Amino acid sequence: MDKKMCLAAVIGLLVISGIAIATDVTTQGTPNNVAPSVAAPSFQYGTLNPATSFWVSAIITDTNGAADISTSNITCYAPTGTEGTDGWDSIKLANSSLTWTTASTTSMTVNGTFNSSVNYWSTKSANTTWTCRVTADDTAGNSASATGTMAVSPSTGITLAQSTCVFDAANPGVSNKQWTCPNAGTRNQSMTQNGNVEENVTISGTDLTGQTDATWIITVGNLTWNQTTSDVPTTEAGTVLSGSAANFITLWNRGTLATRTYNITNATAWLDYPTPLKSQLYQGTITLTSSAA
Amino acid sequence: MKAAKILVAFALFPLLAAQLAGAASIGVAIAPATGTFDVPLDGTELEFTVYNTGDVGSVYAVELGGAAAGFSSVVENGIMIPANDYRTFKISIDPSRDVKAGDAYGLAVKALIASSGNMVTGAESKITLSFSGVRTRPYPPEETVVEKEPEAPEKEPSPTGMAVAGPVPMAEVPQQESVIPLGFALPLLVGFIIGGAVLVFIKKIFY
Repeated sequence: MDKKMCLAAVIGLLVISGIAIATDVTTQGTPNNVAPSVAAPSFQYGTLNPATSFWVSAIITDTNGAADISTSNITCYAPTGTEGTDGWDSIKLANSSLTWTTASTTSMTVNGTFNSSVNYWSTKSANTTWTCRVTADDTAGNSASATGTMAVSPSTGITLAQSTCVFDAANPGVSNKQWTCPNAGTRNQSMTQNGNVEENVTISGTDLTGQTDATWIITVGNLTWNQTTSDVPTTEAGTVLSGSAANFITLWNRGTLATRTYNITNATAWLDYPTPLKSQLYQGTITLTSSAA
Repeated sequence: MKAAKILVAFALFPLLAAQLAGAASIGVAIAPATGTFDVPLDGTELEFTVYNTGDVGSVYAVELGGAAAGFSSVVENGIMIPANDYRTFKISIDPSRDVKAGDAYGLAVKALIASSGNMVTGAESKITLSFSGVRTRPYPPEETVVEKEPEAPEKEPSPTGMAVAGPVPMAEVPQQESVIPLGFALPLLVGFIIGGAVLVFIKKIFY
């Protein structure tokens, strides 16, 4: 091989190598913020009674770092409920009500506790399977969520607006003296259905015993009652009270409205003052008991 | 008779005045209200919650009763529950000698306000007990007792959820600073081959 051939070979080699070196490309891009991810929530109870405290927890991960996780919220709702609202079939916890714990450099554990004094989580809350969703947002506005379920048990209950009602004073032998329930200053005892199932309510009473001389009594048979939704009933129902439980309200539906004061009814009672009767204060007890229909 | 009328009026009006200042709502609820518990014959615990739905603290009595032998007349009195609060009760049941696998009994748990003026509310839970399994406890069984617990016991977390993937981000591109080396050995080899071929070609042309 002479000098010309060697020169040509070297030139060719350099040309090809130059092309190869020129194809070594370096690129740089601006990183985009990745959305967080939410693991399946944990529940304190799989099945729980309504209005009892419970927590929901979940681990939130963000590859941009735990500091990139900005806010979270927890919603729980029954099939009939509207997620994100507060009512008998939907409750929520905002970010300000949640507690945070650092799990790692890229993850946080969020925990929310519902209790009966918060929102509408009450004995009236829907008796069914609820879905709870944990949602997380990051600083870039990306969002992710995960859901799980819990079962809420049936409950029954009733609340009376007043603990004491007082019959009008009268002479012995006078009939149909109506009571006044002083808390509201009305002739009615206001009652609220506080369960999450259809209820039956029974009524029973005791004799009224003399508070000064207990040997004198007004027997329970002198009491009559009525339940009505009108404010001031004008007629006596004529249903005599006894010591045995009698039907008072049957198939009382809990209603479907969010307000706790839904499904209120009123009760009133009358007393016949027998004769003879010693003049003194007499006191007895009327008991209203609810149970699942 | 006229004197009696005055006395009754005087007796009632002071009470009315006193109740105007102190009247309050009272209420009770209980859960579960219905249901069926499958109870092993070697004993189990049933958990009930009693709520005070009134706006003042009240004293409650919890009563357990029912058709099943050995479950009657169990009462826990004097249970104070603050307003808008609740207490959880664990009822331990040891089936009687007459109970055998497959039997079912009705059970009632009743909660009443023990003392609150002259109006009382109550709630009653009606539960069916279904017995299953094999009895392992010695005969005769232990007494049925109602245990009062101040607070609902902590339970192990029971994850029942299903993960749902979050929305796919529009800008889900990892941070990148990539270098793409094509290597140096291959171009060198190609260069030698082409160079050699060129030399052979030149040699044939000019020589």
